Amino acid sequence: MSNYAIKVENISKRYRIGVQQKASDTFGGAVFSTLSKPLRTFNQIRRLSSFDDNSDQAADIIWALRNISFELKSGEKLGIIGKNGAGKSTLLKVLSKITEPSHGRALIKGKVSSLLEIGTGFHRDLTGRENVYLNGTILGMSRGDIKNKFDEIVEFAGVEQFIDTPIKRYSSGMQVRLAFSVAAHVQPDILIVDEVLAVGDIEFQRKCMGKLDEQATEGKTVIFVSHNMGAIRRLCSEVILLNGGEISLKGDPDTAINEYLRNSETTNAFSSDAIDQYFENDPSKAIQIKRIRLLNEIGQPSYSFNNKFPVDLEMEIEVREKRQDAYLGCVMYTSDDSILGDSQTNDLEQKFEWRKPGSYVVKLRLPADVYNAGIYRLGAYAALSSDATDRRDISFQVINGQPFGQSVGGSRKGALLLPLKWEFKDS
Amino acid sequence: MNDSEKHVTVVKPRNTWDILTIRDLWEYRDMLLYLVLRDIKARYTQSVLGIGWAVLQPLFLMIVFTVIFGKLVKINTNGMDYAVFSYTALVPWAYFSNSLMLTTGSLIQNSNLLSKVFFPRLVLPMSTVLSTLVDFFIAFILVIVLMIWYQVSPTIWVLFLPVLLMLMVVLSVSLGSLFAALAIQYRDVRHGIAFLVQGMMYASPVVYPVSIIPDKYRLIYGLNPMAGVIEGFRSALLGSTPMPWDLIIVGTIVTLVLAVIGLTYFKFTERIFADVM
Repeated sequence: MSNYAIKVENISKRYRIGVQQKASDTFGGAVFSTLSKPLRTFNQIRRLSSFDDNSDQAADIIWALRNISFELKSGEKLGIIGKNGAGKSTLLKVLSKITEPSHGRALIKGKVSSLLEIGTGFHRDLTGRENVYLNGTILGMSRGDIKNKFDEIVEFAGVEQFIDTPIKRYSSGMQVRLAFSVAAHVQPDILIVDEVLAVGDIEFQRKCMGKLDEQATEGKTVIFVSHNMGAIRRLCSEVILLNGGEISLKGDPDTAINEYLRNSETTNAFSSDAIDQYFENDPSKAIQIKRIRLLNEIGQPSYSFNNKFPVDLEMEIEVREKRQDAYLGCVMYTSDDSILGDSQTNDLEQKFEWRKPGSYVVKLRLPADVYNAGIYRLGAYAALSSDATDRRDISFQVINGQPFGQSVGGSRKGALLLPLKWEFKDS
Repeated sequence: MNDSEKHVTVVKPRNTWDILTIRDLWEYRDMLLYLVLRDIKARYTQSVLGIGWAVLQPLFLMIVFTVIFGKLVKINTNGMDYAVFSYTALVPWAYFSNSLMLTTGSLIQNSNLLSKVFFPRLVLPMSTVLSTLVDFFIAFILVIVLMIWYQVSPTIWVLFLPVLLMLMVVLSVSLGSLFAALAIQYRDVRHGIAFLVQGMMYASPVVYPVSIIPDKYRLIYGLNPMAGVIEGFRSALLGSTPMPWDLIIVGTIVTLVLAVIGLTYFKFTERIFADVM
């Protein structure tokens, strides 16, 4: 017998979407259509749940999932990534038994708990305590389970003082913390998590990730949907990339994430999330950024970087006029958009002025061992002191590969690792 | 736990008629309990009279009916004072009508649960039916007060009341889950149910005694299970009429048939709730 935890075989899911009725343009037609509206509405509603076999090709049918198959061994962590509408949530809903597949089947071994939302069933008028019990039982815990973990749940949420107060008196942050805390203490064999980590302040998000890490290391089978590539890379041993309801790639996290980012680049060329961006010629600019990308330690464009290695910002600069006041620069932002610093070619001996018209490849190295895990954005600009600047933004993510970036209470705070030297003397 | 001991769940399209999965329901009994508590608490917090509303609703109707049907129309109640005659019937009736209306909306009201969490869907209508039962007991206290006031002594058949109560609960769950499953797809059902309930009240012996129904129509009249239940309440508590066994038996059969239809339809459609709402 194979030791699968989840075996998905050819799952497809179709939905019927409402098709807009054509408005009639004659008076008689309008009267007729008003009178027959209830009948049409009835048919429309009825069709939501009835699919006859030859209706598979009908115009108002969309396939949210198509022939999805994969197998997950016990203890494996699967990440699912893909654009909005790629079918990620539908797949989770099918596996959570919330909605039924149209074709195919899935075998699931053990107790499943799915966190598609936190705080489901929370009621404003109930106290924190009552909501913990209500929400816990909804997530499939028994009263005894909750009783045993009650103190732990409340402590993790940090709402000990208010546990017997109706949650409508809670701040929204407290509600979210309590909700996540209940969810985090469910102990299933298989955990299905949808993007629920994007809650609360940074401090709490980190706590949540820690809790998820914990579950993952305990040998639970985890299916995790997220847009946070850092989290996917860290948690998952395998990643499925969904595209238009189909699996377009299944492989190790790096391959899948890079493929995903490359895909989103072609459809979304001007987003700062794209890892290799080209820009159209604009002859009105005396100096212009033509291409911008970030390269990793082996010279490949990437979105995600390990801080053990430097990150290279590479730009192609088109100079159209020889100018004395030309210079290049780059502002670096943290994920909350505060400026971390600004670097300019004027700082150097080798300035960028008096360049002959033509194309230049410019590299700016962000050193290793400096940046903490997180999302950063670079705003690179090519400028003339008298003129408007040409500016392009590119985002990237740093993941922590540093032994010294870890500390007892989870990861370190702040944008920089500050590898400073400490000295001790025994007195 | 060893891998092979774990329960394997198969997720697949259902073509066959699944039998009611009692095991699932039993596993989620704690959720049922807390949903009942939530319903009760949510209904009466931040309300001055609170649970007093459970008494006020039948009490108000009793006053109206006593003036109209007791004093003006002068309905024959076999010598019973009209106030106690009608209130004894209004308490089970109010339970049935409220629980049916609330249950019909129970899936719609909890649609966020349906789209985000798996649990046996039947928990929702069941919790509504059970939480309304609290109102019933509160309102029932006034029945006792009225009986003392009017010096009416109950018959031995009060011991039979739990059976009538059960019949009423089963009827509410059966009809309620049928209508709830229909209403999640066709919202019209929710509007229509108000008419149905109103009509059913006049088809039940609430404002009049069963004795005014001609004998040859009596069994047809009994097809409404609430007829037997309400008249049974009156018989047990007031002793004004004999226990209407014929109505109760017919009503029980109808209730069981409705239970099979309601629960089967619910079970059959619950897999698509998340898709059609």
